[in-house]
Amino acid sequence: MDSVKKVKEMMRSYPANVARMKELEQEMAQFIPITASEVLEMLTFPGKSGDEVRVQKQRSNNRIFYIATSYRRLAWLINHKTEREMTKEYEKAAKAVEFIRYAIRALPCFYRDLMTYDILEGRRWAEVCERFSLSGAEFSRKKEEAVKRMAKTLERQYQYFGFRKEELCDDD
Amino acid sequence: MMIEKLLESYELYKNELEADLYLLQTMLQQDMPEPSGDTIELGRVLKHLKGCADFINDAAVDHRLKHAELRFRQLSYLDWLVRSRASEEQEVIKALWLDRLSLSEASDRFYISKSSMYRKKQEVLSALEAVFSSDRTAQTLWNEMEQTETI
Repeated sequence: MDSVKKVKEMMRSYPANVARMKELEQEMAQFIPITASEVLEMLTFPGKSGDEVRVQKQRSNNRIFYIATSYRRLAWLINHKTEREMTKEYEKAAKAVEFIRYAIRALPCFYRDLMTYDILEGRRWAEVCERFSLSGAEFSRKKEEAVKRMAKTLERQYQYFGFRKEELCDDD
Repeated sequence: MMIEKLLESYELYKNELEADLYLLQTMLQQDMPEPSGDTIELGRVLKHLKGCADFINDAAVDHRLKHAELRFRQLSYLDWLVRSRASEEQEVIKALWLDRLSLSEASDRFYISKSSMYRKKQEVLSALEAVFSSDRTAQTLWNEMEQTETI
């Protein structure tokens, strides 16, 4: 189980994940689902040969009947798929962000302040060293220690955050 | 000794309980100050959050609440264990495990030699271990935790 590597990876992608979560929240709030009449319009529109949507079973020639019964379901399916994709992506980013916030909060006071300033507030290396009166090497050592503690939290509690054991295994 | 390991984990348990409560506040969208303070204070926050979670059907919230409750029960037990000792022993426990002083720092605090401090530490640990090993409830509490963590 290479939890240290996983924690480092989550820490690196923390700002990107937070930004992605905000983007997706906005996208979800502004999401306008496709209406059944739009689907019907799409189905009746001739289009090109590759554009057609199969709504008819071969045994019947009554195309209109099948379109009439399935276009509402098709509209629902299209909307559901889009929503599911957005939710899945949101969950993936959220669990990493949630874990990092939790693990930093669970650190002893000094490490918590250090990592909050460095990771959660996204300060630069020099700013962190100056604020905590640390040399570069000392800061690296402290950060490494904090990462080790966070990795232990991940090993103990990975299932609470929706991670699977395989995700923590080293690919090498 | 098992009890020594548990006392060393006291700070970790407290930090994890605070983090659990902080995460629950975020999940339940409760606008409250960050949880801190002693176990009793954290217990009050936990009770409030548990009340809020009654109206929510979310597996993540349930898991987090379960973890927070276990940590709270473990901390309460350790608090009780410490408080049930004589005041002199309580001071030793506070210095060595809660204030996390080294043996020489603690010996300076009590104006005794380092070897006397070590003896005191061993006496306190033996007494606590005896209580802990005879208490089945406490052992269940820690076994329960191990089982939960290896779902």
